[in-house]
Amino acid sequence: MGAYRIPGPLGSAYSQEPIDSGTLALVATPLPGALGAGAMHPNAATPIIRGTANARQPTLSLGNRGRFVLELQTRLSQEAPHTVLKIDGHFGPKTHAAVVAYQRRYRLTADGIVGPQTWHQLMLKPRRRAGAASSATPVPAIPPPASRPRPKPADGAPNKERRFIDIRWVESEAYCGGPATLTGSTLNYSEGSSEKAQVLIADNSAILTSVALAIAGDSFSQDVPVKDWLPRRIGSDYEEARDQNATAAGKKTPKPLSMKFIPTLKLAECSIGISHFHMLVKNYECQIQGNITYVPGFMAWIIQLGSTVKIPASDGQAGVNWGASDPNSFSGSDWRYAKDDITADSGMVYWDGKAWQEVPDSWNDTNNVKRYGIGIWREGTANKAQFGNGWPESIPNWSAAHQAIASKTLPDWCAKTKSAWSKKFDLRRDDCKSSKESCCRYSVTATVAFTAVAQRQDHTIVIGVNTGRSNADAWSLGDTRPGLAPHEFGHHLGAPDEYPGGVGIDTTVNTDGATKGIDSSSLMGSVPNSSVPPIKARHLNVISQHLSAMIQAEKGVSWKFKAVAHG
Amino acid sequence: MINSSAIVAVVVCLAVADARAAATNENSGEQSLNQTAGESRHYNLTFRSLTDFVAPGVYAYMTVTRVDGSNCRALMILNRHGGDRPNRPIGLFGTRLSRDDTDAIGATIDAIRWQELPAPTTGEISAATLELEYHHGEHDVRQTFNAGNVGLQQSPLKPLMQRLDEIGGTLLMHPERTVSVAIARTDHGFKLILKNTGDGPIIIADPRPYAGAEAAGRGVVGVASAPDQTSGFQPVPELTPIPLKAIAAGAPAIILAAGQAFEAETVAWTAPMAGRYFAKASWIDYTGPRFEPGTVMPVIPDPGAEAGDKRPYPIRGAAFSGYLKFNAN
Repeated sequence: MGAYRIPGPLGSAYSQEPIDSGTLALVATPLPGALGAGAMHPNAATPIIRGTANARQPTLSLGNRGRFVLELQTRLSQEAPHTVLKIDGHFGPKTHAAVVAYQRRYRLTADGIVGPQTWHQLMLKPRRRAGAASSATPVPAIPPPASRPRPKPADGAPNKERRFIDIRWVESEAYCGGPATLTGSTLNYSEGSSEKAQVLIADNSAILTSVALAIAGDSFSQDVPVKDWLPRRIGSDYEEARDQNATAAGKKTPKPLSMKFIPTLKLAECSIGISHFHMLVKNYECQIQGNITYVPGFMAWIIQLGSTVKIPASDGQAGVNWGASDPNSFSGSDWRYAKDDITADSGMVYWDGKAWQEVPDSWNDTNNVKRYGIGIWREGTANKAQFGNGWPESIPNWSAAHQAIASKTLPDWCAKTKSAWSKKFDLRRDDCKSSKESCCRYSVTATVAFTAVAQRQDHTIVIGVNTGRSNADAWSLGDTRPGLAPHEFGHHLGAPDEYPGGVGIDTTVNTDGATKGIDSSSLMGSVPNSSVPPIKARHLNVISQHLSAMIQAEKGVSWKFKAVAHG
Repeated sequence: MINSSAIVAVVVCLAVADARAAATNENSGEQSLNQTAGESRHYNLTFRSLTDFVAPGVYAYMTVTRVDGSNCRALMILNRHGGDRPNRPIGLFGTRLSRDDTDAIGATIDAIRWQELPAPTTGEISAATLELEYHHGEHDVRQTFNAGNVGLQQSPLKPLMQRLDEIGGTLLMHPERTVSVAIARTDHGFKLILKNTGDGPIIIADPRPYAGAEAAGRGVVGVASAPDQTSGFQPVPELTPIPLKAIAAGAPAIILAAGQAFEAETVAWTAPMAGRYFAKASWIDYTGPRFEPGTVMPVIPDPGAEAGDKRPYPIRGAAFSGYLKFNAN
């Protein structure tokens, strides 16, 4: 199981750092065309152009760029002036084809990779090269251009017989978007002529696409657009690879191109910023698995009595410390533990350090800022409170009746969370060129489970069985707001708050209903009394990053995703 | 989220001298921001505490406090007390503050360095959204924060929060158009009593359920066995709801004059066994009464304008009785 832990810039912040190979803690797989350790980078700025092969000339292959590639292209052009080869410093498919043709001509290993032997041959003077080729080696199957009969000018006279020699895939495998290149050799084709090639599924010969092979000189190198090639469902699962051949002029690629698909990814632990969940991909469905651990407890209060209660300031103080930025600011404040009590006329009592006392009628909180719901629970022999020094009386374990309430409510929370986060948006590969909307597209489902634990640790919440005021880390089973669990689970998925004064607000967000990161119409911006607001596409940003990371790690390809409406 | 390690973004909206400020300035004349104590402060203050969106303009817990610095008039619309405190009226409260108190409120807001507020370090979706709108001459403050931003309230905004708390306490003692809920036993069950505890008429919807659509009704009595006295934490038992007797037609409006009460009986209830019980009446109505436009007071009136308004005040929100404790044989 892979694990992606990418802390935000400040650890617990709800940041959504963009993922690239520089920030991911992944083992990077060298990209095709990359140089091995110790080799000189082909893109180095200083060219060394000599008449002989030089030890510092790097090995070049498809994808390289730079001045050594320029030199290579220049020499290839000198070798075969009839070949239209763009001198642009980019080792693309046409350069590759030219190299292969050159290597074949001189009976070098025709692999398209310019190593020491190919460089050596290129560095020899033309006449000496030609002589070496003709004297030291048997006559090649494909004679060098200088010794081959050239097509006659277009004067009405018939050309000599054309021969389509062969067709091959340059790459052994390809993902959607490519690259996939067909190359090959021809004989006696006039400049500018073409052959039609077809790409077929190997096992049933279904035609996927047709391309025109533009012939230049005695060879061709043709990019094949890899798009709209969708995987088939084989039984209950999508195929992960299938062979594809190409045919042209009666010739067929000797080895197929293995078309790769990514319908499946292994279960991975995902932890970017504050997100923490597991995800696997099966049949193009991102299956998010959240597990919320909780300690069974109760809801109580912490209240600020102020001047309404005349007792020594230190008596019964809960010892809360609200602010990390100024740790001592509030440690001396008069916050005390409180609970509902039907025997009190005011309905509430507070702890004065020795006993529970009725909250006086003179105590008011008209703006709802002097009382916060908190979770309390028992941990071994300790009576714990979410804030402060600890609850001042014995906290019971859940009774059978309490368990029954949990057994009824928790499945409801699971269902609401699943409903809120599943099949609302898909993740579509950002640079997929396919016209078929289903290509490179992953649906998203989220399931969550609640697991009781004996000790509260990071990410463990308190579930209060009685009715009370919930907070992010203490959820009341009596809280009837249907969006509570889906909202808080959104943080597990890496979505930041979107209400004024919330945590981790991304003030750069000004689209899709949000203004400076505030969106009271979204699930992350509001938890209304009787409805579940919709999630927005941006809420899946971190999930998209995780999917990219999983694909990079497992398949070695770099794909980016964006959320699009589920369809 | 109350989390000391959390990083938060500040949401501060401080606008200066917009069109409304210009209008305010025009009304108030050439007011200096550095007035000496005792000078009239022609400001307008609106402070809202909003929790749990219900519908546009309606929140489960909503308190709106308004002060007009020119006439010292203060009012508060409170639709539900936090913690569902028993025996507390809800509705419209209003009074005239002393000139000193009125000026002190303005001076407190003027003294806060709004543009230098630190970023709040905590926040909580379940806590109230707090909105401040203050217009004083060219000084125009609009600030939105969260009741979970405890550090912000306990430090740079502490003087303001204390002032607002004091105003709230003062206003609670001056109910103008308010309703409270009481409970009483009857021969066959209970009755819920809605009483106008203000000094002017109010309009509410009949709390009783009616045939068909609204089975639960707006009023209900909950009853439960009183828990045994034990040491240690004991949550309040869940109450079994006893509905009010239904009526034929749907929720007609009821106008109550000052001091007048409306009573509605529950369906018959018999204790399942002898013992000690407790009961509580709840009135929850966020829809409100139906009325013809212009026939009732605005829900959030301008300070001062409400004093002479003779029209009934529409109340929606939630109020709760105290606990009724009794023995059943």
